[in-house]
Amino acid sequence: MAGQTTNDTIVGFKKISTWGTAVAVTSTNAFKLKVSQLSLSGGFGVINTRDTGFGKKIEDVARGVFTGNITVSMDLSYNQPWTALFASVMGTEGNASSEITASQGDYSHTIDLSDSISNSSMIAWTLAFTTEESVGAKLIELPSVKFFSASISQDVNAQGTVTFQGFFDKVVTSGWTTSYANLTGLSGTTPYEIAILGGTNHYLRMNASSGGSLSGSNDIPIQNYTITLNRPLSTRYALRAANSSYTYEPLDLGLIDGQVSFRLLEINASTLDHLANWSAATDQKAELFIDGTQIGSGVNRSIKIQLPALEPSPGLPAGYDIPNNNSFQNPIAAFTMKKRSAAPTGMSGVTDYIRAIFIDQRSTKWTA
Amino acid sequence: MSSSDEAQIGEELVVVVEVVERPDGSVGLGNSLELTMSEAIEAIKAGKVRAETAPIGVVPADWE
Repeated sequence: MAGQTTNDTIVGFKKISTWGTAVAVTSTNAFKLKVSQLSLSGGFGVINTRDTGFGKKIEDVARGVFTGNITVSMDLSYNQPWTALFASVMGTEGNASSEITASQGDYSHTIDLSDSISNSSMIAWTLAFTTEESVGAKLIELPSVKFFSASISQDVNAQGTVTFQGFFDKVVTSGWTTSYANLTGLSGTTPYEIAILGGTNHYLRMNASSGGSLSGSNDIPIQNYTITLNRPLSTRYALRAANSSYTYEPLDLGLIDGQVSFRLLEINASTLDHLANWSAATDQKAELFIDGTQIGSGVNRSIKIQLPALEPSPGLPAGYDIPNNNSFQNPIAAFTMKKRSAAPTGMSGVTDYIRAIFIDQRSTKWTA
Repeated sequence: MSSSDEAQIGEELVVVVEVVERPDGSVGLGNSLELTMSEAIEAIKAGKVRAETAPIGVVPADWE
């Protein structure tokens, strides 16, 4: 049967509390995820016979450890459950705010970067999706998935792409905890609103990290942005009878890497002198804001990214050289996210790499 | 809400968020600020800032 994706191709996920123990992707806090692509890779290691005297032919094959990698991409959108996956990479999601506007159902979600996404602070998921469209009743279930990388990129006047990478413990192909009916019974989170970069209110603002509050006077014309957060995890294996091929909960190992870059409209030192900032290694702070339509008669659905300390990337900034006389010079302002000891002016409470603030219609935490 | 040693001597400091009018006329939330309690209450009543724990224009019950 051709594997064409249809309305029956459903991806769902739900938070787990114990690594290795699946939950049924159904009922409260189970989400239907609108993906543009989902890919799995990995598998079992191969252990061949090492005996001699068999004519160079394999007589026995055993399976080694199982590695499971998942990459899932989707459109940047408002009020959608990719926010939950993003929060699981970031590690800290506060409770939803009270309504921003009385009786309008507009809520704010603040998501910060934690030191760790392991053990007690683990936010991991059971993820399941349907297969065999016309047969039904078949699905693939990943009992435990932990995402360690998030990337958001977007061009002006275009939809953005959000991509997550993670580890999963194993693939369940029968005897699922989640039923086919569980998946088909999932409702999407509504409304679904795609996020386009280029609205009247949208902006990127940047100035020195030590400078004053960001305002409209700090607007920087950009053609695109890319935000990438990668927190290395390591799988761990140990003898434990039948399950020893499968990893225990992957744990943090190594420094969290946060990168952000902006392609500038032009070389214009009066809006952003990136060469000077790079040369002097002057930390910047930045805020990216996009919004959609209004929630009732309250505020608009929106996404705000705050970056309190951006160290200009040490490599020579791209786009200041001269490619040929038929090209514009579009500088790339690239930065490494850093932690600050104290929040910069205008970003009270924001010290670690990145804060994301989502305004949508969900009244509870996405990672509840 | 946050406090500091200095605030314990003087007046308690609280974190609020600016209420701003966007270019298209919609209302949104801007920078986060640290104000004294009395400044914050006055600004909330004037519709200039919002407390995280109450809608725009409403002073949280435990602030007054």
